[in-house]
Amino acid sequence: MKKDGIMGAVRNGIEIRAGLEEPEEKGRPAAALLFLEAGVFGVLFLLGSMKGVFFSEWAVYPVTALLCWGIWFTYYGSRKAYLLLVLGAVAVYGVVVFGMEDTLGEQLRYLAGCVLGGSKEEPVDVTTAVLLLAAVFAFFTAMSEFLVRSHMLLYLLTTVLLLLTPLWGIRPGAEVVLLLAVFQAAFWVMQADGLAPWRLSFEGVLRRQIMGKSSFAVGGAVTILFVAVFPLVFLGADRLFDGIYDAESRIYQTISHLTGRDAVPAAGGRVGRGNQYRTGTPQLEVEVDIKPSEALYLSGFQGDEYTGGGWESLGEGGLFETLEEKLGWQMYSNGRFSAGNLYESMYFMMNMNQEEEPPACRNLKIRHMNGEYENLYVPYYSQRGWGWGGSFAEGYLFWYYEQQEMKIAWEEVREDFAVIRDWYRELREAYQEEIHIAYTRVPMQLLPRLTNLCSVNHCESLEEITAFILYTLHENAQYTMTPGWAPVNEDIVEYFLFESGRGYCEHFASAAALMYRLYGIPARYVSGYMVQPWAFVQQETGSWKAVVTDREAHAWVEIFLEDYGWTPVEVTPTAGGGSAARYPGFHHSIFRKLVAEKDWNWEKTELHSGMEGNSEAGWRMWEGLADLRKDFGEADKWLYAAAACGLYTLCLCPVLLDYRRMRRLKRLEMGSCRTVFFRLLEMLRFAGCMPGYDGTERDFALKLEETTGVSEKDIAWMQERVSQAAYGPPCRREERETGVWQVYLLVAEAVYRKLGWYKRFVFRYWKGFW
Amino acid sequence: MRKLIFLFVTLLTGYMAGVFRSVPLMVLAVLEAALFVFSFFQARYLQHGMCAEFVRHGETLEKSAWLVCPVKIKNGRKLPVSRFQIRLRYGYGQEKEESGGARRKTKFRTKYIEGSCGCGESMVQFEVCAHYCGLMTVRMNGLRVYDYLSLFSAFGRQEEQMEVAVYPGERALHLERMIFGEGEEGRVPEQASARGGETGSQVRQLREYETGDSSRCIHWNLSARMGELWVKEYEKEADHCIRLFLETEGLAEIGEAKADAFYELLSALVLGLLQHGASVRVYWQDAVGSGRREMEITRGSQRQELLLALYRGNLPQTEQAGTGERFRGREEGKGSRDLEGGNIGRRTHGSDKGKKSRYSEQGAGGRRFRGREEGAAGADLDIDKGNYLRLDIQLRLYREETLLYVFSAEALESQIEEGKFVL
Repeated sequence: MKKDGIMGAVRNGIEIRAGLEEPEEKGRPAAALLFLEAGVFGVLFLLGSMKGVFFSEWAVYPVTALLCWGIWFTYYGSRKAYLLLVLGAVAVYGVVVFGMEDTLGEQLRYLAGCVLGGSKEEPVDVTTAVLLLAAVFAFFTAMSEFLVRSHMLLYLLTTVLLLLTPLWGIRPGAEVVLLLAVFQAAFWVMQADGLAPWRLSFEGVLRRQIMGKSSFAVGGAVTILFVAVFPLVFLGADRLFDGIYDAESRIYQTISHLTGRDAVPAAGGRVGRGNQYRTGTPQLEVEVDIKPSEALYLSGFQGDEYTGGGWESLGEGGLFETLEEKLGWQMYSNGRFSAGNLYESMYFMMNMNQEEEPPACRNLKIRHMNGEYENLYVPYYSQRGWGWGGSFAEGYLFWYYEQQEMKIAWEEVREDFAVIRDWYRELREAYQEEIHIAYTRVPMQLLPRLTNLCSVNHCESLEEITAFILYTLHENAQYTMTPGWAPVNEDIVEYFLFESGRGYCEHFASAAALMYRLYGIPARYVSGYMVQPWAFVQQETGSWKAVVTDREAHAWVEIFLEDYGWTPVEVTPTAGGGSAARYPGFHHSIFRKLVAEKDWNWEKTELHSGMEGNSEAGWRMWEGLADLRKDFGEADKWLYAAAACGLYTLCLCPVLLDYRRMRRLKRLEMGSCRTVFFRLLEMLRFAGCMPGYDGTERDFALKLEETTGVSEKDIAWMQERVSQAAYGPPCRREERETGVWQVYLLVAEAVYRKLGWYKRFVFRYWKGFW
Repeated sequence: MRKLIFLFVTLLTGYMAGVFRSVPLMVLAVLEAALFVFSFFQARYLQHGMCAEFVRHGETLEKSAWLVCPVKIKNGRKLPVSRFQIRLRYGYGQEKEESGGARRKTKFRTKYIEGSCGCGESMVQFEVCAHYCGLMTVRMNGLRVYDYLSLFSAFGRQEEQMEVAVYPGERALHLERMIFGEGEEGRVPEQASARGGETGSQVRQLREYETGDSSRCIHWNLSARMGELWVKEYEKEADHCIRLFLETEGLAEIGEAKADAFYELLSALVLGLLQHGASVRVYWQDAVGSGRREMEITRGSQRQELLLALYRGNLPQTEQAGTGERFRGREEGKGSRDLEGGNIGRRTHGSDKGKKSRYSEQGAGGRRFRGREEGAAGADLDIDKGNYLRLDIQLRLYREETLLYVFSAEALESQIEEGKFVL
């Protein structure tokens, strides 16, 4: 049996074929050029939106547009010319790469560095590299879309580009998204049939023409929809984002519940780079004998070293060994009476042994709901209670004071405590010296902007420093559990403070701890639980119990105060946006007073790139304006772009006119003989020849011969064929129309030669008759 | 698959827009979702405004030739259709069981052809080629229209049917007529036939040449004068009417390939006989059940009528219908062995085909036919090697003793194995 490439094996003796002899359509599809440019310019704009990248737009945009046009023009004109263009381009770029190896290599390395290393301080001109990349992308796109006729790869590539660039801190603007969306949708339509080349297709369809129209329709619809949807989404973005976070939260909760991870108390030093979701699963049970009157901080982790994206706990073992050595206490040091143990309960003991009768200490019992006690949670100003040697089956005990109950006067202790007081004092002084070294270290290379911010805003006292930190945090960042993801190549604290302005306790505490350290104040990042007084419920036994869930998990910063030791400072704003920070010697009135007195200038610190001042409306207003400006660009940029486009179009005018002329002629050639004849009559009318004739007259051929010199026989033959096409029986179409077209060309040439120069120009380039 | 990819990308875009709090990306996600929904409705919108129909519903086609089938596409919407798909079902006979139940349900195949069209009416075409003779049916029973992104499609039923009668090529069996008993043994067939043609009858009329006419009947002088071929038509002699009895029982069940061999052979035989100036009267039992049928063939062009009648299993009654009583079908038993004055003969040896064989003549005016199909007949028949061809054609001539050819299965099988078909 016969076989055919498309049809495969003959089935039941019948073969059906289609599309085998479909002639290749002539002409250059304008849609292909338009959408090729959309894709290439989308990627160019994306490159332009990278921080630290600068290129000469005057050079890059026109050259790239011209290159796209050249690729398209040669590809649809002559495959041979296209091949030559590709080879020529490769040769030219080979020469460029060879000749400008150093420059190009440097620029490409810089671009890669921008992607991988985050934002740069000073933009660098990378015009050559961008030109090269644009050309490579243009050729690749043309090969894929025109030659291979496969869009899926480019669709996925541009999608990945759009979706993953934010991971590296490149936020695509509206123009980038619009251009790439149009590119994706339009070529999707154009190649919709190309995805299955094994399918049979009908002959006789001007598929490219229909696909061009369809892609124009889709491209236009995408543009209109984008413009229409943009303001709606812009206004309701928060709701949309919240909807996504809700969905993500539910997934997270379900997974946490299924894996049992939600019941594990987890205090650590990792500063979250994404959203934080809580499950509300009980993790701790805290029981006190007296209801707390202030928030109870249970510290589970102290961050000693900031490593960029997290804190590491080095432990204080080494520090206390140094202290013992310094104080000469090594000989007394054993498990129970080590410097560390002494220090741990020092402030509790000092407060308890004051000469003036102190308040009764409070009992606190903590039980882990999952029965695992790998990480213990410790209240401030406390001492371990009884039962620490056991298995913690029933939890563990502390005696502690609240902050407001701490009233340590070093000189006013009970007489029998004086000796220990002296030890404590000695230990405190030595410790204070050490922590000024240990807890003021900051990796400045990771935090250039934060370092700069603190260096240009000089603060003297601890109150002033605290006020500045609070002011900075509260005015430039908003508390939210769903700040979104941070780019992988940016430091989370810098991103939180200088880019997104959104974060939760871990970000606030980290930023505050680092700022304290930059001002030379020993500070530590702490994570654990913060239990509010109202969470405690009185039990039948008279005690107060609180069930602590992961919703109470918290992070804060602690600073060292001479008479209190490590003291928590709440830098995370309250739900209302206010400040809850207070510690002995600092409260809200002091903060307000200092803010009013000081003139902290954000502009000179370049806190936010592109941000202009801070209004009372806060971040929301700024975010809206910044987004608007980022997305729509500055007015002068658009003016420049419009002017450049105009100039570019003007330069291309002759080429465009010629292209338009060729396109019209091609369409006319492919049209029916009646269309050609009507066009011929139109041409005669334009040229002022044979007024009053409509082509049906008997002497039409004769008269036209007299006018143009074209043989009467040919013209009569054309008349006859046109008449036959209109009224006669069907006959071979191709032969008839080729002949009519030939006669038309003869007449057009003759008419053209009779016209003056101005009319010739209009005849040829504007009207496109010949 | 594309739908899933698009949906996945939309969801991913929305998610990434959310986690990076990017308004433009969120706009893109909303836009993609809107396009997804829009595409669903667009496919339905376009489908409801579109229909396809065959331009011609009946065609004839020579076997193994390509037939162009134009299809008219009507798009009543304002938007062009970037992709539609037509479902074609094709096969021999009728796909649906007819009310009489006489026709079996043949095996139909499905083919999908895609295309695109602008607004209004447009014409597209496909080509069909049949390798077996018979009545081919091409049904267009579904039209699927896709949206611009080819994510969704809407399917609408179409009921369009085109019947194509596939005829064998105009190949005639080369039959050599030998005349015995008149002292003319050894004459070349052409001479014998020429004489037979001229002496045995009077010229009834002159007419234009038709396919199947014997070259010996051409009036060369007149043809040269007129510039076209003219032939002499002789008065029919009773002896020149050859009766051909076809046993068509089970023809519809033997499959397209075997039926094709039957039609091919019948056509070649009829044309071969006509070339000898004989008229052929064909008898058969109609499969539909309307009884015995007969048809007299005097010209090559009637061959197609005969074949069509056989394809359809339905023959219009002819004036000579009464002679159909001679037909004996197989169901009557003995028919194939006990025809008037005839015996079952044996095929002449294939090795004789290059020579002039001699046969003893019995009976007045007795003639012998030694036949072979012109060209490589076996290959043209498209019968697979080793296929069992049950072909019962009984060629019966009066007063012959060895000239009754029965093309039985055994006889054909051995020839087919040799790769050619020789009578």
